[in-house]
Amino acid sequence: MGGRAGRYYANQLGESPWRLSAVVVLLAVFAIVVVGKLFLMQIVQHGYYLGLATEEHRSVRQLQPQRGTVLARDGAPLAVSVPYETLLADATHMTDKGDVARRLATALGGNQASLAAKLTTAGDKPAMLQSSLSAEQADRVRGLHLLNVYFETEPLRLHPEGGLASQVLGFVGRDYAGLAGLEMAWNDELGGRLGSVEAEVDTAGDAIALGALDYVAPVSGADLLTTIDRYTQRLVEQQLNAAVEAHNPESATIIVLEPRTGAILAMATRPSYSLADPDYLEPENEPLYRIPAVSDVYEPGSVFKVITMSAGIDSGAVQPDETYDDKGYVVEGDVTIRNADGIGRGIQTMAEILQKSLNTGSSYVARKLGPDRFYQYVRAFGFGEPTAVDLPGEAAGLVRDNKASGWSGSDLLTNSFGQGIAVTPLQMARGVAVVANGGLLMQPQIVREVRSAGGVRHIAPQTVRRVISPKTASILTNMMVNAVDKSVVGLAKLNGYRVAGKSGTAEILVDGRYAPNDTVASFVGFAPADDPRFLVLVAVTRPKDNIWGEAVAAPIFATIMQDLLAHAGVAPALDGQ
Amino acid sequence: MQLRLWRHFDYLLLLNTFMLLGVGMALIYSATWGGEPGLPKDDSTYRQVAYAAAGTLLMVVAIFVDYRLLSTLAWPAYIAVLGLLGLVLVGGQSSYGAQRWLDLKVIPLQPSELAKLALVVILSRYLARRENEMGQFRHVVGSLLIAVPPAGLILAQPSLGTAVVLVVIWFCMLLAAGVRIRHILILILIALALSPVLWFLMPDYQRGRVMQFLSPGSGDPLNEDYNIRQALISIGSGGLWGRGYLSGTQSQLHFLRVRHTDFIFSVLAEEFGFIGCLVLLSLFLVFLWRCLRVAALSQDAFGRFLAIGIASYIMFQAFVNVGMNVRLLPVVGMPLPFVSFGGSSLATALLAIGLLQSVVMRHKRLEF
Repeated sequence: MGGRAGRYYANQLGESPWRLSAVVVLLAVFAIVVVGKLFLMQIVQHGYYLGLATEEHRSVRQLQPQRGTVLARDGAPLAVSVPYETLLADATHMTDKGDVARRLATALGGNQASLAAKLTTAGDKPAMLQSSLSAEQADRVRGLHLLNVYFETEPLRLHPEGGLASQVLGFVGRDYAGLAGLEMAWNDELGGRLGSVEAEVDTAGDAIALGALDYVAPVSGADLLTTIDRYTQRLVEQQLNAAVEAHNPESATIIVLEPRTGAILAMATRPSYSLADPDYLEPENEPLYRIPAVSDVYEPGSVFKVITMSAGIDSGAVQPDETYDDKGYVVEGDVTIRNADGIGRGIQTMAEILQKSLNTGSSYVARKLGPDRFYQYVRAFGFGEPTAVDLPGEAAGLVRDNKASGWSGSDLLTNSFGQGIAVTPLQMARGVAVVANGGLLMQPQIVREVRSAGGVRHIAPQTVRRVISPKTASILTNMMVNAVDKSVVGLAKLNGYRVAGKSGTAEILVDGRYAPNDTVASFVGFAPADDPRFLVLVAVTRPKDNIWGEAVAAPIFATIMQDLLAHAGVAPALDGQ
Repeated sequence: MQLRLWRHFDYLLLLNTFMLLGVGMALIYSATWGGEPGLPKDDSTYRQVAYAAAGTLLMVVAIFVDYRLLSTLAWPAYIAVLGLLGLVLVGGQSSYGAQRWLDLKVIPLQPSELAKLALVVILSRYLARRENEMGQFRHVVGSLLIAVPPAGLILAQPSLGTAVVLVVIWFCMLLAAGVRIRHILILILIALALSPVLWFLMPDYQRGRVMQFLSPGSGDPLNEDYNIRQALISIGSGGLWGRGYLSGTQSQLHFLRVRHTDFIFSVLAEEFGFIGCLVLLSLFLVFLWRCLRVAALSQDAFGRFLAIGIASYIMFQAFVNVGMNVRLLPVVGMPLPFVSFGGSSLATALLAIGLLQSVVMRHKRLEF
């Protein structure tokens, strides 16, 4: 520009050269502000913005592995993942949401308003419009050729056997994580490992052809071969349904064990749920997700006399041929223990204690044992601690022994006939199975094999410890057979088979007092007594028509045991009449 | 045309202009070569080259014609532009909800771009004739009456940004013409008094933009928050040297919208970084310097006002566009002169360069 030009300029705009300066200063200030802002963003905050950019155009997509199948004992599938299509939409750039919703509603046979709401509320996230579409629905939606509407294949967890063993199997949530049952306890094995694709994407979320791509293949989950026997499980569930029909109880649980291995052949409780029920995920159904056979405790009542007598004989505290004088009651401190009918029967044998379910008798045995040895045996039988079965939510039960504060001598006596002690149905079944199994406590088993791509892991039956001698077990077995055979009602008897068993009618503690008409009516038994194949526990909580284990639970036990033995081809002994 | 005229031809201005054009075409190519998914191949770069060629032709014509002839053509040109603006309102093509285009079969014409230059020319004539009487308020009002019709017609399209450009052109030229400060204050007071009325006359989207600027993150009726966020990410991730030509992820992966027009500065900032931005801003400062030099050398007031008007018209748009890209100003649809894609805008700007050359070539100061 030079001085000359400047001078001319001053002459031309002579009267107010400051205006030029003002404009130039204004422009300069603005230029400095712009450059300052650029400096701030591009130099000072560069890292921050670069991070935002990277975040925006890098996308990590998770690749779901194939979830493992849960198999019954015979290899038939109980829980499988089947691919189903889910309808999604990217509503970010959808201008005519109402129209899209209307057309989709027609194709799906769904509600237009709820579809429109899903589209509007999704924001910049994918809107999940409907899961598990039928093939016809998916075809009709494809026929619409809508932009920004797409499908994703999602595995749906199905139970091919219907509601069979649904509590034991459990279910998975939307993220395929197991939320209950075996699905939860074995989630790591079943779930496999997530794979991923990390890719550069454009605004449509599509991977760029030449963009960087990191692929990690998903690892399929392992299949679980369970110990659940479909025939047994179905039988058990049918009997539960019948029991609910007949006795209208608060709940009912049945467990079938194989005494020699600890394998759980069947396990079920009513009430239950089924994946076929569309409402099973509603919050009010949440209490049903537990597996009561392992997570709920009850007072076992007279069934526990089997444990007390085993301890007494095994320790030598009492002799099998010993007798005692039954007065009908026992006094301990200020507590008086009575027989269920309050009647004193005079001189009674040890076998008669089980046969007639005498509370005075089990008290006699417990007194001769003394609290130290009694509780030592109770714990050896596995009460008061979880069985470590591979199912979620297992309870430990409650054994208050003579070291616990507030314990008194009368507690020893009430514990001896199964009151004031809390056990899970599985603990009780396993405890009696010790007698059936010649004195060995087994680890309860629900999974026999884990079959993954890497190979098959066989899980062998596991002996936890010897609790009583084989001789004691044999004596107790005979006492239990005697109890079944000589029972006045005799509802657990089976023609042609020697059945060992014991009933229990436990009163339920209601507001700190035992209520005589609220009971858990139960029966635990095994057969054939000399070579036990099956052990069945039946526990019916608060039956409405009859409170007695002998009357309510024993017939159910007998029906199941008869069927199982016949189905297993166990020949009846003709001299067993 | 006499050969000696070429002694005063401003080669630096021409070079500077072609450099801006070159930057623009390179950036348009970068912004569009990938195309949009689902659309036919984008030919914006080729069209921009064609527009530049047409604009250069206009520029050459303007160079050969004595700018003083323009003074006599000022009123007919002004009336013609008003007519075109009226036509747009009646039968124009709409895009993005506003009618701004006239379909001339061969090329779509945006009369509002022509209006900017036409206003510069007519105001130059008006002010040059009253240069020594600018102390009188009636001339202020008179010049305002000239500026209002085109600004009003453009506001009705609606195109707030372009209307503001017209007002700014008028204001800058008035300032240069020596209007009294007192009168300027009066005008500002009147404008302030009218602003609530203007607020209610504004279409919703314009109010939305203002609100969006005043309180970011509060509702986003036009998804403008998205655009500006993408612009900021583009600029910030550019860093000192940029991410390299054709390598800006935001631009190339279509995160950045309207990137070859209003947000082309963001493409530059992402791919060429802080340095690239400084270079571009320098080119505009060189342009301003050459304009002021033309104004200073002009043999008459008409030429001087032409130069000042053109400087205001180009520089205001440039700064508003950049200011909007870096979020110093609210989002308004305003091209970056010489750089953004757009035929009418580019051709008009090149025609303006021709006028500047015509003025500077014919100054007599240095001829003895």
